[in-house]
Amino acid sequence: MKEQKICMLGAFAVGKTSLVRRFVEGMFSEEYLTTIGVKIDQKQVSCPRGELLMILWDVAGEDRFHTITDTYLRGSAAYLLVADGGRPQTIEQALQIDQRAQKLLGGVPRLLLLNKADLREEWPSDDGVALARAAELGMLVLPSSAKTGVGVEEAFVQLADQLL
Amino acid sequence: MIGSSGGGQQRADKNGGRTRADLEGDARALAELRGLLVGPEQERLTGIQQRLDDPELHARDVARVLAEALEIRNQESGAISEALAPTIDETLSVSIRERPQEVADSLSPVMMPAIRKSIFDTIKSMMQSLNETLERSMSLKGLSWRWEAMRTGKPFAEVVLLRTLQYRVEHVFLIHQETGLLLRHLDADSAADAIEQPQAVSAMLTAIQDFVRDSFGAEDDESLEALQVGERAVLIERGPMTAVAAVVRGEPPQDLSALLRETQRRVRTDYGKELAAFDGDPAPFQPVETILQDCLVSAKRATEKKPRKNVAKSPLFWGALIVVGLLIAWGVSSWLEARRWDRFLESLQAEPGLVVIQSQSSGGYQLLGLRDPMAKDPQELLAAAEFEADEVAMSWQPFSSPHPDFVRARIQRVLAPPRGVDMQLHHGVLTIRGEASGRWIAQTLLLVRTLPEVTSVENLVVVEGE
Repeated sequence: MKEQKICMLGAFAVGKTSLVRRFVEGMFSEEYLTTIGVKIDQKQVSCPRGELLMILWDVAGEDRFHTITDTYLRGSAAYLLVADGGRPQTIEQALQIDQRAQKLLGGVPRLLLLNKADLREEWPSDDGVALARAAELGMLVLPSSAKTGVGVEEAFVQLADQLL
Repeated sequence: MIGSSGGGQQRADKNGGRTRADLEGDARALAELRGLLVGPEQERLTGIQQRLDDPELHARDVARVLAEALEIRNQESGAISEALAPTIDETLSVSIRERPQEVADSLSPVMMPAIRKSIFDTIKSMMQSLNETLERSMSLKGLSWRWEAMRTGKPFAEVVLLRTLQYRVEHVFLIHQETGLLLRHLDADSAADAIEQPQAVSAMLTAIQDFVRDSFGAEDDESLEALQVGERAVLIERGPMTAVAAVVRGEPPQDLSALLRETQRRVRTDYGKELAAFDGDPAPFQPVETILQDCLVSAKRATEKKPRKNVAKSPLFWGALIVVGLLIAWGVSSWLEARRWDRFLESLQAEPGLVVIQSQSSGGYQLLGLRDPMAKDPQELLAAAEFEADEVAMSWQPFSSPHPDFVRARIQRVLAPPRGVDMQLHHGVLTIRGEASGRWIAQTLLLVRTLPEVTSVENLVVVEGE
């Protein structure tokens, strides 16, 4: 079965780790995120084009003290950008990360997840500009909720399908 | 079409004033011209058409280029193998089903050595493990390991391993350097613990290496080469495209790194093309197992003589030796004693006129029996069996033994026949011959009734003086 490295990228506290936890039952402790800045999980995904073993690199969130190191991105076949739908600046940060990642990896498939969709009613309406830019960049934007599980499996399967 | 209908002819007459014969001549000329211009091509085309339509000719054509075509296509992609696989599978099944003997004969030169080697290896490893098991369960060392296993809650096998192995490579990972993806993982048959998700471990090892390199600002060619986790060490040998990581239990020797480097080199040489084309599919690296196999090495600790000397010096050893010696002495003396008693009982049984009814040796020798008054004195036999007279409590009840010697003796004693009288007892019939006094005869006929062995008397005695 084919294997691929997939990175989870996004700003601090947007719910990347919770999304991974929703999707897989991992063997490594989440403490790795705070110690070495990455935690790895694997998940076998069945999608229309076949099976894929996803090696998920959950990279610690970016904040003003910490930037995602390019080293962890290297060799990724695809990545999932995660933003908190309730915080439009995290969408902006996701787009910045995307720019860097595209430069480094050269046009690999990616998805933007607007996480915490269970709180959608409270989302501000000023995220339209950022989303329009995402669409301009040819990025598929999907809502997700690690809390309810909505959109999680679909996002991973969709990404996997693009890799087969 | 020209001149094919009456209408056409009329039109020709009107338009050009040409006759039908003219038109036919034109057509012939045209055909001739066509023949001259495209004749050879026409013939070739017909020939080609014939070759395509005729299956035999077509097959000959394909056969001429088949091998070359396969070769070219194979170089381009592996599609031919995939396309042929089902047919080959089916052909093989049919062959095996219909001509099993031929197939077996063809395969046997290849299979037999492999089967022989496999059986030999299995038996050898069984013998070795049996020897080791015996050695470990019988020796003092084995007992102390068992105690350690009980104390620490570790499985016995793990304790044995820890105490007997200097080191052993339990897992080998071949990792794609850039992506951290696992190309191949191999574990030793007897590895103490299996790795559940080797792919995730492979990525984590890569991440840790990246982390260390980033944190310490190391150059690209510098990397983390070893990790120590309790009794295990992880040695990582990084190459330009791959990394080989070995999980080692115990103390890895210096030359293990060299072995990993050599493995790295062999993989690069043999799989350079596959590595360059790697797209996440680890299948082409399946055969790399044969190279990684060489990394699953181990070494036993050299047997130490020193502890044996210590054991010989310890008071525990001497105490144990004395106890064992005493036990052996006690065992031997008990056996000899039992033999002496058995011999005495056997001698009593062999003696006519003595019957042992009950005997016991535990808690002092005791014996209950029947004794014919004419039988040998049991005390004599006791002395002969080297027993003291008061060592055995014997109780003998009198009885008349039916033994022929005793019966004869009893008849002699009761009837006291005078000289010249002969007595024979046969099946309870006492035959008396000879010459005796009338008084003795009368007495005998009375006395004979007291003898239970005599049922009747045949009296052939001649009375003296008559």
